[in-house]
Amino acid sequence: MNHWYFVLASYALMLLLLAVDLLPPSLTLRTLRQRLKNRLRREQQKNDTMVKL
Amino acid sequence: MQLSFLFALITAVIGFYGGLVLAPADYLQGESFRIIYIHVPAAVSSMSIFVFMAIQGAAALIWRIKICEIFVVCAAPIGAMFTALTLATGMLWGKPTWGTYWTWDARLTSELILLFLYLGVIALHQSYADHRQGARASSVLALIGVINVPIIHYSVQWWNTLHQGETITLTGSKMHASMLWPLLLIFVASKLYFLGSLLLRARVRLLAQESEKQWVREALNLEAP
Repeated sequence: MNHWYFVLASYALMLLLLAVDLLPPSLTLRTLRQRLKNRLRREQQKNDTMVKL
Repeated sequence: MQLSFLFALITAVIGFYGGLVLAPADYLQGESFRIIYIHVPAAVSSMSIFVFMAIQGAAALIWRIKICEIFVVCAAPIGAMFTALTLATGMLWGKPTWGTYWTWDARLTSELILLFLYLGVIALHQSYADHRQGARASSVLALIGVINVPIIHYSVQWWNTLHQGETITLTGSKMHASMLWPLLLIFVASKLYFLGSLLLRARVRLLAQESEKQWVREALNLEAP
């Protein structure tokens, strides 16, 4: 009763599903933070220019 | 969030080392019994996450708490992932043990229905243009669908199923201690993983929804323009 290949398939599947679960929100968080920071920086620069004028 | 993932990783590494290396092979099932170290924690998580969603859904509908709506929506993909993992590892365990990947047994069928319920919650939320309205509709489905959780749990007692009965109960365990402790550690790891993943998803959703608010600017360490 040696079924190591079924065990290995289960563990490989687990790693795959965990990656599928974790990667998209991690990448979205990164891009979202960057996009928000860029937008706020642009607003800040626009504001500074207005004050100077 | 990072702490949850760190502790989940530590407990999972110790637990899987115990389950794959230290625990002896089962005298009947051989090595294939080691699949339970994924299957059982994933199955428990698949049910407990749905109960969590129903509780959050009730709170969201009664008190209109925004974070509860977000938790319902964010917990669904994680629960779906655990349910898919439960079904897939169950099939991989079923082939060497029962001689078949799938049978329309009460436990297996009710778990499959749970996967469809998770997918229904996700699809229902996606179908609304307004996030909050979609989250409330998903909360209603979570509240209705939670009836399936006791059906899954008691299916092995109510019907004559191929799936085995409970091995671990609140009063004791039929497993030998050398096989049990890794399982308990992986239980803890799966809960910590859920917490970390939920917080990560909730963070993304909050940042996307509340990007105009002052607190988001503060959270990003930027001064208000």
